[in-house]
Amino acid sequence: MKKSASLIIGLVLLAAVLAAAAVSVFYTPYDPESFSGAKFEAPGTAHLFGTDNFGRDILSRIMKGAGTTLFVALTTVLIGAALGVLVGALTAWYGGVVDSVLMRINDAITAFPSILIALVLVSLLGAGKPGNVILALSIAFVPSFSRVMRTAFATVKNQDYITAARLMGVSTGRILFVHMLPNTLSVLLPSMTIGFNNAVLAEASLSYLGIGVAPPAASLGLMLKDAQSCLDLAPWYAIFTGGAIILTVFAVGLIGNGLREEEGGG
Amino acid sequence: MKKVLCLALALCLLFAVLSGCKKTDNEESYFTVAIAQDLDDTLDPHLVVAAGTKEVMFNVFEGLLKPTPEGNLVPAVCSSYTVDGTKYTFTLRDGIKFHNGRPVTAEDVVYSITRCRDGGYVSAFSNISEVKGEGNTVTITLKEPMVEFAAYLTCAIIPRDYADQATAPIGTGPYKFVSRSAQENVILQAFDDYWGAKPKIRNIRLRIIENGDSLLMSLKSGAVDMASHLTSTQVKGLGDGFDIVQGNMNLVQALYLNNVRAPFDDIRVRQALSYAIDKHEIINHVFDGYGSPLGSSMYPAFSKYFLPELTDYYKTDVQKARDLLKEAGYENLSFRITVPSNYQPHMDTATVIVEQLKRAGINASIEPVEWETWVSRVYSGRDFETTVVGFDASTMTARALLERFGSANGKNFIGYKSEKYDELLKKALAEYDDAKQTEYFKAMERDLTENAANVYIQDLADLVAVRKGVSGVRFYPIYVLDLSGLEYEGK
Repeated sequence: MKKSASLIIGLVLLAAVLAAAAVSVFYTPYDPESFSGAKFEAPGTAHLFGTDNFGRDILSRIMKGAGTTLFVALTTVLIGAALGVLVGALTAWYGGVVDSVLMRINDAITAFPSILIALVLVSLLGAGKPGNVILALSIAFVPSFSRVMRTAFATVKNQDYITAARLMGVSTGRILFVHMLPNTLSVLLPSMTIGFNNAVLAEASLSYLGIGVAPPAASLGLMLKDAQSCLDLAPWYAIFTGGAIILTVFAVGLIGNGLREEEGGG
Repeated sequence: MKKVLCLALALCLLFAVLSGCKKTDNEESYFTVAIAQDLDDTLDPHLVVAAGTKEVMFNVFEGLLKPTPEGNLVPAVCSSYTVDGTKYTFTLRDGIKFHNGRPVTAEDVVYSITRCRDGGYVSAFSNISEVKGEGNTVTITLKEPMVEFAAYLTCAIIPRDYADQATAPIGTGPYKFVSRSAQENVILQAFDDYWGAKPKIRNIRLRIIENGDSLLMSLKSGAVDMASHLTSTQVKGLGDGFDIVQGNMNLVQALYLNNVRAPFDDIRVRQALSYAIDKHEIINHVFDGYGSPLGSSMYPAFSKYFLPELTDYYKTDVQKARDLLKEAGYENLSFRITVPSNYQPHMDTATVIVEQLKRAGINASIEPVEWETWVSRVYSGRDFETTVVGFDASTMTARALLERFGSANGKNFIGYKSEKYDELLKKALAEYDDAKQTEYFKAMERDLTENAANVYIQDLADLVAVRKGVSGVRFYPIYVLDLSGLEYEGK
């Protein structure tokens, strides 16, 4: 099977971002929270990406912040997708009242912008803790997954091999998650890559609004928020931080595209 | 046919856009001042609570007395007054008029004072036993002597027979209120019959710009001529074309400590924090050197009460901080700093504090909360360890800043308890002699510092940008924006 070019490029780029985040656990050029230079030092040999409004090394903070942001995004998508698959499977399988009730709740949540829901949840749970951000975003992300998965499960449900399995007396749980789930992956994986990107941006927005990750810890969104107020004085701050977000989202976008191409071609 | 119609519509649009470019003569003569929030509170001076509204309505209203930039009180609606124990006698200023042209009478003064007393709008007025007006004199008799009573007489004098105070206010100040468009602007105009020096700038437009970045753009583009409460970063980005005037915000920014909760109930821990936190570094690093360091709950604008020697009472000494913590048995101390996240200066200060505490082996973390949460949980609920905020004085008295730390005071959210302090407070409030009272207040400041009640940081700088060629920005010990002194240079 021929690998699609966008899949390969996407994987390489994502690997680079992940590597930077992984390295930050052991090593960063400077302590990301200490004031290692003067305020707003331009990019140079001492500070490759320059320094921020406290004189902290931007490169170190981007490495550390990418880690935080990726972790939040990844867990959000995994939790959101897991719940979405569950809701999608149940509604498609049982139909009737279960379907109506769950999907109407779903509709109710979709009626609000996901950022707004996350905002309310974070305010209720307490701001500034990554755990709460993940929880709030996951809940906000469930509807998009459950809607897509319900359609996918409903399509697979009518296939002959499922009818055969039912006649053989296989348990519902086994049918749903062993027989049907693998056949919905072609839908699940691309929506997870899209969801991942949305989660990266959502974490950035929440931190940007001041209720995501608590300073002095770094996250890409939080950094972009700080960068905005000094756009004139230190344009590099916004450029490098925004660049890191764009790179991550672009890489995962490419992977999603690649997966779909493979699916279509293979 | 369709094409012709398209063209015609496009032309119409173009005209609509271009007609917006034309400036009328009237519009050109406005001096535009940016304010950060709409005056969506009531405009009635006795009922208003929003600090931002009071700040600008200072130009519209006056009391019997009004404050000066130096922190003194001078006669405004009255021309002179005498105090005889509990009896205050005011002589109304000759020919003073309200903005609607009606002369101010003694009945108006009696009405205004009585309204504030009966409505409970000025709590100190509950001490008034009688207000009487006769001819052009007003006498106020107090139940008990009160040395700082004059400070409350800045309470606005308004006409007794006018009902629209909340939307179209009328006062006696240098500027009269003309109009307000919600979320857009408020128009003021110089009052021709003002009793004092007439304002040099006739028309003022207060434009509401909430976002800091759009404010900066508006200043640079020339749409706004003046803005206050700027940050040092904003000022740096402004470039030429503006004069930057530095005053003080008149608030006490500190790391407020919950004195009743362990480990902050131990004076050694509080002192250790005071030694570990370097206020000068905070001011230099975050605020580019703008800001006045403080050592107690008093800011320099109250020059009569301010004790500069307290500022460096705890000279930064990391080793001493470590020793004190060891002695108190709190090595590896860790705690949370709750900060209202909408106040960037406090967030930035907390960020530096966390870093400084690390040097002394203390592990602090920031907990950002929304303002409403801060008020209900930290201030009213007293459920916090430490918090970074600023407190201001509601009236021009030392009492407004110091009374809150009396152990029985409802506003004592840090739970400060010092018998000596309570004793001094009682003496100060009962004292008739101004010089003696000042000494008591000073002793109270010393008590706060010696007990390291809080880690005092600074009085934040209030940076005002004014278009070059305009002068006369004046700062007060209270939170007001005085526009009446502004003038174009060389005119």
